[in-house]
Amino acid sequence: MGPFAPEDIAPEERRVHRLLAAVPPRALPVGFRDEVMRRLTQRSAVAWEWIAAGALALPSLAFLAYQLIDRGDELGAVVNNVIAAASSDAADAFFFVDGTTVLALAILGVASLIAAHASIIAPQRRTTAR
Amino acid sequence: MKQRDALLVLGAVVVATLVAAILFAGSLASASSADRGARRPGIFFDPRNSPPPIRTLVEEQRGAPIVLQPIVPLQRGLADTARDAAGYLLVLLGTSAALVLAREQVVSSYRASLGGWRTQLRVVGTGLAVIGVGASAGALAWIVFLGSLATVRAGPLGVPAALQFGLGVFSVVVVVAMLAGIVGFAAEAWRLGDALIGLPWLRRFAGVPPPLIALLGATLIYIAWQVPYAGTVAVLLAFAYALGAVVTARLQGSPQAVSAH
Repeated sequence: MGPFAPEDIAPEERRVHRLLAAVPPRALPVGFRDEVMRRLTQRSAVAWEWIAAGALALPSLAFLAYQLIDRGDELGAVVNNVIAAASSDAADAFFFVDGTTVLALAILGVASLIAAHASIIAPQRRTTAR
Repeated sequence: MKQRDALLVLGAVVVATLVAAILFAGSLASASSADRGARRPGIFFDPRNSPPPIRTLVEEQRGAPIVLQPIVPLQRGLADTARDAAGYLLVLLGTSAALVLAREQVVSSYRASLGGWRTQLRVVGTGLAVIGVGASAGALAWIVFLGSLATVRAGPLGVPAALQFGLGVFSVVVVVAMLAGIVGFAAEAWRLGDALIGLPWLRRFAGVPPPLIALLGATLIYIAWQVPYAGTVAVLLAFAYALGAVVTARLQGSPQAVSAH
């Protein structure tokens, strides 16, 4: 093994390492590194994610805000009933939720995840660019 | 922006427009008006009274503008489906969240569960052992805690406050276990989706992105959960596998394990 072989190399990996280490170094074409870095730092993937997240989140946000304004008293009554039921000996309870609200919440969650993914990727690409 | 990205944006905008129309129709259809009587609440919980009866489709259509009236049946059907599928949506959201926010942990759990049937058995066995340890430790902790309440009664806290404290600590422990379970579940769903895609007549879909494969696996686990009786066993095994994958990944990644090899 050469002096630059990794210390933690496994016995079965030695032959492959020796084979690859025997390949003579070759200069990369001019501008190769810049081209690779340019592709890595392309912001388009992040841009479309932000647009998709915004397009999906806005209708759901508007719907939920309208529901909160229009039916806020129902939500308050539900919270009160839940607290009252928790301290009572009721054996049964009735529950109903509008499915459109469930749909809006699910879509908002998906949009938030897309936005989270975009915001996680962006700093990583910026670091790679440096 | 590449052509693929532009298509994705276009798709998202189309979906968003459809969703906006459905949500708008839903808002208008459920709005109250004098000629249609009392509306059904958007959310309702009461231990004593049942919710008011749901409006007929014709009544809801009457409340929407003419342009949106054809959408109202679609909105009604979608709303009913979404209400029934809230649990499934939660499973999909949890899996996606783990894949996005805890990607490294999911990937290491996925790698730890790679292997033949012996590895799979080992992962399930580890998970069952972890569940056993957790249940046993939890029960013993409660016994010790309830036994010590007699001492606390004489102190400044009193029994109710001490019980609330105990419940709070227990809830935190359960949440931590659930977080580990979600990470493991995402890895498990990914493995299951991989196994499904590996079947001879499904190999042509091998190019499907891993997140979609994981969501496919999560869907299968959710369907298995819905099977009467067998669903309980399936969920227990799924939870055991998820915890086992996380613990195996943790053990494989620890410095002691590396030095032992």
